[in-house]
Amino acid sequence: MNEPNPSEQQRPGTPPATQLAVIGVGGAGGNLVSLLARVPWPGLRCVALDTSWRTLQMRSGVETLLLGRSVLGGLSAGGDPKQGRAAAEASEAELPALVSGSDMVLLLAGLGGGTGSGAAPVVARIAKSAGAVVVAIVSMPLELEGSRRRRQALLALNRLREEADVIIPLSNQDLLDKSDPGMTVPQLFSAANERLVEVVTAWWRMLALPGLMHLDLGALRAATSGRGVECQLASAEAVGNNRTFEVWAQLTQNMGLGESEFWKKTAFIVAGIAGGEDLLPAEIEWLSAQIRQQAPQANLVFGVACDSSLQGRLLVTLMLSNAGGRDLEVLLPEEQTPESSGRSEPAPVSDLETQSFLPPATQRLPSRIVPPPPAVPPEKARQLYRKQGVRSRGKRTGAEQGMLPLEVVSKGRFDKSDPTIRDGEDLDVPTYIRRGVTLN
Amino acid sequence: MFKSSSILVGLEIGTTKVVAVVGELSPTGALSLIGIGQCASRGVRKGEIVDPVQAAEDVRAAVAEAEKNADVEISSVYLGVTGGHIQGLTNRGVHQIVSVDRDITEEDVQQVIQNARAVVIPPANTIIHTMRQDFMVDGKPGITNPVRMLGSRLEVDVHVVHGNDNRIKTAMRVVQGLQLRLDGVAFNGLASALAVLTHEDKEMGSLVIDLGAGVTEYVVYAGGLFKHTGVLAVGGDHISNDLAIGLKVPLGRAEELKIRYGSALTQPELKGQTVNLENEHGLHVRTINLEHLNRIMALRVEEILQLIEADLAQSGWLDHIRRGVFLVGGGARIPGIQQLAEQIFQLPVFLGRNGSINSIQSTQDQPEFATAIGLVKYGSIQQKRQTGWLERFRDTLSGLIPH
Repeated sequence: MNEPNPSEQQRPGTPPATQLAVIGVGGAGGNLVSLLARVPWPGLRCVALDTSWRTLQMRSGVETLLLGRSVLGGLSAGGDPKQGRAAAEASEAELPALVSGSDMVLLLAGLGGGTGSGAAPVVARIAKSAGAVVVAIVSMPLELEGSRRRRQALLALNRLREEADVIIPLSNQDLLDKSDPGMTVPQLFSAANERLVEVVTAWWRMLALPGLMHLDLGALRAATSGRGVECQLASAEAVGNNRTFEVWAQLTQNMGLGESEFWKKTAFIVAGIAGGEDLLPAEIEWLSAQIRQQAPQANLVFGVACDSSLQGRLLVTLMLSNAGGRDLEVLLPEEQTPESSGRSEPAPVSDLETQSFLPPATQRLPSRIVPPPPAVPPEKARQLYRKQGVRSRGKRTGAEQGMLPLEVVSKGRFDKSDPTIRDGEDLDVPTYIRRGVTLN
Repeated sequence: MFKSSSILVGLEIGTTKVVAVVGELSPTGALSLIGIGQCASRGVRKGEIVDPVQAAEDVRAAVAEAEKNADVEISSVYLGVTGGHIQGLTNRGVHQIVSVDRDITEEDVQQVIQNARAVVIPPANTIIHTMRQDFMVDGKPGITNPVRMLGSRLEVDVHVVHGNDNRIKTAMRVVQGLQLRLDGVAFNGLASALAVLTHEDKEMGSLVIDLGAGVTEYVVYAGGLFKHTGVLAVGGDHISNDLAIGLKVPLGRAEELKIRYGSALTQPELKGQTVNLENEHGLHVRTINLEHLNRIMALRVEEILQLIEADLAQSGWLDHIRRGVFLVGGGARIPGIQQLAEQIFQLPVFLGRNGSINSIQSTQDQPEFATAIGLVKYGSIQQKRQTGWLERFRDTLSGLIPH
């Protein structure tokens, strides 16, 4: 573990709150971090990292660091993650200074390109070894960006998973699909960025609030671990008589969750509700009912916080994730020691276990359990990942296996019509087949 | 004025047939049925139009037949819509009474209704019906008119039926393309309920299930008010399809077998019984096991009813149904479905009879016509609402005379 850099001194008078550093890597990450820097947020350190000198010049209000001047000479990585990684590794000596003194590092990057995909795992590793908790919020490429970028993004995501503590991969595809056709490209991109900044700020507030039912990073980690996970974040705030209703309207309309295809895939929901001392149980119940109505099968983790600073207001944050909806026991971090389970009384094994607001275990579908990826010690992982870098591309990037839709049962005349799905069952398939009744 | 508008036509574009029912609204407000036209439907799947050209042709044929039978010219219709996209939801509006004397005024009532109407529905959807429920003053329910009451908090529930805008417009476009005016659009489930439920049934709490070919609609009336809507995009077609797959026969033959041998209950005495299928020359083709047929069909029918029961149990309306369950639509003719429904809902089950309109007996007993007849009924209610004060005055007068 690195010693905190002496140059980064604790300012006198600052409360011993969590020191947060936000690091934007690459073009998309840099855009986000410079937007975040405008949010009044005490104790926040904003850093933009990029390989392109020109892009860095445009960043204002944030610290900047040019990655890999010796490798790329201030030009961009050109969409090649290998270049991005090489650049970050060349600048490895300068990185610890950026994260030292921070308890938590929030890494923002758009995956799929060169710098974001290549450098973000390196930055995450360094931040982690400097003793910070690393949370990475990354946006996945849009479909229009093509399959190559998508593969690069997925590979980068897997590498990032080995380094960071919590990874929240976001999908922006919905925003594009639901956007006004008259919207121009800059408008769309800035809308996506602004939405993200708004949501990230709201989530941070939610996590910082002292909760009656506290939400912590563990809940987010539970909702985001696993392969192929994508998330959507949303937040809304409202005041007044109909605030519950307005919050939900904002969530569904402005945040684009209303008709989102994502609900169907959602298997895990983390919802945070914060209000003043006047927060009513009926309001929480109503919101919970709305959420459950949208995704009846999903695991719902609830957090409730009351704070006098929010008097009369209602702040709701939502995270939808398609993480396999599995049993929480599976999701407990591996660091849990075996002796703790030897006790006769089932001690609260993690914060998440005691504070979550989950449906009883019987409601979860056993078939959705997906075993977590095998644990690889970080040293070994790094070795593997170095090795991957040396190997020629081609084979590696094509490693993602496609899935064919598995149509076992014919639906007769309803083959081509919209399926009638209820509670996860396709009602167009004959009942006797679904119930396994044999005819003989 | 009432001469021209006294003809009301209900048009249902169903999955197996298009039905146009012509009703006559007499100046005294009595509604009688004067003609029916129907035509096999070919452009509809699961209650939704998939081939507008074909559907338009069938509508034209049905309307022409109705015109002939009723001996009137049809210029406008009430159209029924359905489909799996239609949903119902109940929303509550809240309004704080701010005046010092806590007197609830007409404006407060308007405001609270407006609050309740502002429901969140998916942006692609449009509202078909909004139905106001009873008011609540300071948490006290069951208030029909709160004006001039005292209170500090006024609440009202509104039940909203909404569906996909484009799909509803497709059906409307088909009708408009035939130079027919649209007097109104109504949800089929609501129309069926209007056709079979008496005032008392609505008051005591009833469930109406319309087992159509493409979709199954169900609505709950309780306390005289429309409370719950549900559409299941599963119907009689699914039974035929299951049989076609399970017995490995063509769809047309499956349909025939369903009508001839179908039952909603598993019958143990059918064990080992078979029926021989013959081709058009009377030659033996295959042997069908009746027990299999029975089991495939019974499972599907049972599942449909169970899904409805589960939905109602979840939404809590099951406890409000005290009168019973009314079955309409072609599926109501399945032998044994009454007993099955009684077992599942634990309530008395009736075959819906179109009691709300004067007509010849044979039409009243046909459960398939409930929706189209209900659309006429819906039209008559709408028409009464739209009439001016003069007509309303006359209605009041005629209402005093027993008829």
